[in-house]
Amino acid sequence: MSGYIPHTDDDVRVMLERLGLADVADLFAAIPSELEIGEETLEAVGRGSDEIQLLKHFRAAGARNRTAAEAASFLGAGCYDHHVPAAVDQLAGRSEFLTSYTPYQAEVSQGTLQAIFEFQSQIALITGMEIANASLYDGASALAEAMLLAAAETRRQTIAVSDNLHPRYRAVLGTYARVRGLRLCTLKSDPATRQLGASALTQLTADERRDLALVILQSPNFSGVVENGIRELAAACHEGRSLLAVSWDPVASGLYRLPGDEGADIVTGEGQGIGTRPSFGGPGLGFMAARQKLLRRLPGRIVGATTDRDGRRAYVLTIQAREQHIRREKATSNICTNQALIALRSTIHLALLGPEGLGEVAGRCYHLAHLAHERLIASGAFTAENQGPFFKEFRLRAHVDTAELNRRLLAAGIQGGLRLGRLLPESPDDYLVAVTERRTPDEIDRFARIAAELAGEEGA
Amino acid sequence: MGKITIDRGLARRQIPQLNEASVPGRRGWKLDGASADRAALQNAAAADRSLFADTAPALPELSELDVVRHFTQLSGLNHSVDNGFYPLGSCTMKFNPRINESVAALDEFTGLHPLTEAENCQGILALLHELEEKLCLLLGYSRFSLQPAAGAQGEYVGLIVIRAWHEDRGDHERREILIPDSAHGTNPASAAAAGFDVVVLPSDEDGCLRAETVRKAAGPRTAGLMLTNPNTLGLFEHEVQEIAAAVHEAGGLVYYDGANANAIIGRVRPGDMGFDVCHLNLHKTFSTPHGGGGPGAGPVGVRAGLEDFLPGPFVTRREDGSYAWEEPAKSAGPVHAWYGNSLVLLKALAYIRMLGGAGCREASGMAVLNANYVAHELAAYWQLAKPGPVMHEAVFSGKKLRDRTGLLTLDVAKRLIDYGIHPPTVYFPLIVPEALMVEPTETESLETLDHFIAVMRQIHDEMEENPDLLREAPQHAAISRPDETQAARRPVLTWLQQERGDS
Amino acid sequence: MSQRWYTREHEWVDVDGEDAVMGITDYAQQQLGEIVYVDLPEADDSFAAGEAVAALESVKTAADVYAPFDLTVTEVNTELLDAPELVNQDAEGAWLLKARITDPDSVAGLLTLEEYNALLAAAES
Repeated sequence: MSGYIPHTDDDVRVMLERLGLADVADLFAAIPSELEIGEETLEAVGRGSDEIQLLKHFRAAGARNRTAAEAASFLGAGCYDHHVPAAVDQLAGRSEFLTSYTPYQAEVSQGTLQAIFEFQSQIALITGMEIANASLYDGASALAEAMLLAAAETRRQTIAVSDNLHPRYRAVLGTYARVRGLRLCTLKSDPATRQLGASALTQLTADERRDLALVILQSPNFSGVVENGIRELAAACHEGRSLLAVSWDPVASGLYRLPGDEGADIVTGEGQGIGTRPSFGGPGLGFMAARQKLLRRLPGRIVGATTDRDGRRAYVLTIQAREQHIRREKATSNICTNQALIALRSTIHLALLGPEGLGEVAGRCYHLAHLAHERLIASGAFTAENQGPFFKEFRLRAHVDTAELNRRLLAAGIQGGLRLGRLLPESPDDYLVAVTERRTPDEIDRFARIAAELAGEEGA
Repeated sequence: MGKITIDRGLARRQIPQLNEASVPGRRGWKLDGASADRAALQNAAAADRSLFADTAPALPELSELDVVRHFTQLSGLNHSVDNGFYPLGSCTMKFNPRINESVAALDEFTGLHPLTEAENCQGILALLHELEEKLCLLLGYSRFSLQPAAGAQGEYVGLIVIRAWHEDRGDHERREILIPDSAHGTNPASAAAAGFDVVVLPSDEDGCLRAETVRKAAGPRTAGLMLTNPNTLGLFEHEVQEIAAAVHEAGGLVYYDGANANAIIGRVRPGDMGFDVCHLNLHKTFSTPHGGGGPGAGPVGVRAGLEDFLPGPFVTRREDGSYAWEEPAKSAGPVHAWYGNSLVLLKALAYIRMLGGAGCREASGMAVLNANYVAHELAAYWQLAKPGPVMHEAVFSGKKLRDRTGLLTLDVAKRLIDYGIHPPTVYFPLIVPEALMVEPTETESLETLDHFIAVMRQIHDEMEENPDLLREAPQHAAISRPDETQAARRPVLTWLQQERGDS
Repeated sequence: MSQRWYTREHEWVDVDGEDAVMGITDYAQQQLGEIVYVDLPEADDSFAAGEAVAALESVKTAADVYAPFDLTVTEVNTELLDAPELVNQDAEGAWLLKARITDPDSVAGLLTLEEYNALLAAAES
């Protein structure tokens, strides 16, 4: 037998004898013979391999990727090259976490359950909210779930979205909104600061405001700018019985006031930056935190603390009556499994960093990003696209050919920023630069020098 | 045969929470040279400073050793495939080969940013394209979207593709999805999430869906039918071709829930059975680890003519042999910020490459042999939900035993824990009273199955001779049975709520 | 003076002119098991006969409560939000909501206690 099958020929013979069968094929007698797969199809799938060949194949493919492992990355836009402490990989890679399943049987799953309880606690702390769920797929679909939650809670259909939301998130919202018949409308930011501001709701018609379920903003937003006026905006939402959701970067919690403390009703986000490498976009980690009053509408798994028969502390999956396996078509969401192992990574990551470590990471990001902003503008290749306060990422207007710039940077071991035209065709000259704690002033200098050289050649 | 002694269960054990172990000032990780950063923060512009918080979030403060011990000890409270038999029906808890982990953990993949220009990530694009090709071959489809991050998201995508296809044809009246009563709860939940009304179809006496039932229910409002084959009773839906034809005749599409694909892989293809759309759970069929509840991956395959409605982008191979992203023309829309759980996809590809086509066929063969062996050896003790051969899992009913002894299937499940075996899925499918659903998978040996069978028979004896052993089970676990009512009535979801004594 | 009626959906309803009070029967309470949450509508919400007006959740299951006739909610029993167990303890006393019947013609098919008990007996056998 090939693959991972332990059966010897003798085993198979013994088992078939017990069953009174002559051949394994007899077990598949219910399948109409004309439906059986052809040998040529199986051959086309491949003839099997061994570990040596497999490693070679994947290594060869890996060699054709240019990554942050070899180049200093200034690429962000929702996926960041933050450091992951060594202990995260080693602990999260433990068999007992890796090869268990959704903790339906609490008595043999206390490890996973307690870890999720701690994850929920940490997420609530770093968002300033009362409760959190056990994770969702990614930052984009978590925001879409927030939208569905708000529509159900308010029984309204209109969702107002900041124009500085990540365009891929906006596209995912579009998918889910279309299916549910929800109306998405756009709130425009101040072009000078790229901030939405406290009075954004005045952009809506009276009709839209009456039907307004949720206002969605991202902070720091897609232009890297930290939103202000959230408190006033939340108050304006609540006055009209609408909710406010913020898509939040958890690393920013080390420096900035928390969206929950500012009055948001739902905080979602992408947790990749706290414990997981870029990984070509996945697996990442969606999180969702909310006000207590929204508990029964939260999608996905939730872990609660209780006691066992002997009065000892125990953790269980709870409030399951909302879920698909009980409510079927009346469930709050169809989500079953989520990203438990990635949530565990974040739990370990935040446990290691603690408040001081998270603050240091955020402080370093802020410091280096501002240094890079200054140097890149001084290079002559860029001007500032906006004057808004930014955290670890900023948007520039390029006066050089950024495709050529990124080629030269890569040749020098630097992965340049994002040419925004790839995601925002209407902004072909804009350039988004992310700077994490893994970057150094030296890398920033090299980046600026290459930009200056190009600017000199192009006469920018 | 001698009595089996209990030597594999866990001891009662509690581990303090991170917040309880916290000591102010303790550090587990630090960044060198943080003072320069602090100076930069103090010199920040007023607009920035007005946004800063006065204090950091009150996360616990621990040393690295504290953290390492905490999570190492927590891991010891879990049952996992790697430390014991895990016959959780419908979840396909097969062995997770370690080479898959090794290849997916290469820096060249984990360090790769999703917005890397295509010319700089040809390697991973080639692998993703290769996976898509192999899935198309194995399942009988024209294209797969690898984007859905889990089976449930795959179902959602499959259904919105069906919806988009109807609407593209100007057919806006098709609001209903037909689903048999034996289906996973996720099916109706996904159909509702995708904006459809659910019409439940009764299974027949033999546990299968009749084409006649479908014919009567299908009509101009039918968008499609969702079916898993083999179904949740572990039975092959033998009228599947007629069922598909009936739906097609009524103008609907047929959806294959790939939850049970481990029974048929390399033997029969959903595409050939008449299913237009299919999702797979790579964490079941293709051996990627379940991770305590994710990350999984739920790719969606479609037959020719439906490709344009899939979420984008997907990878195409150009004539010059290079790979590029391509957006489908009439996409129902993306459901993920990027391309799904890329690293999970790589693990599944490693598995398929390792087995090859013939190996996949052998895997389903042994999965079905194992399930039938367990069904056969236990049938005299637990009533099979439906008599006769099964596919990859065996469903038993504990109703007669309950009526005789007063003991529930739940008690049997908890007693298995004492023997170091993870309980099978219980109380599902809903149409079987006191259901007990055993899926051994192909990676378990005859010795493991024989041990499980012996334990189950011994528990059967205990039900008569010493029922308290079941009522008080598990004794050999970190906790005794938890109070779920209290948990749901007075939810305590965070440290803070716990400290405040929320009730 | 109100009269107590029953429904096929295992609800009780006291009707007094156009005013009504609703709850679930003891049988329904037993079927659900320990109730952990009661999801109630808000005052002034209106429902057509047959629509779900409330939901009860136990650990392992959930059940909707249906409007027996067209109604507008006038008051809900907020005590149940913090103490859902009251429904288990005294189902016939723990009312869920008070309502105004908005269309008297929609009142049809209510059962007397005898009829309801006969229904239960038939279901059990």
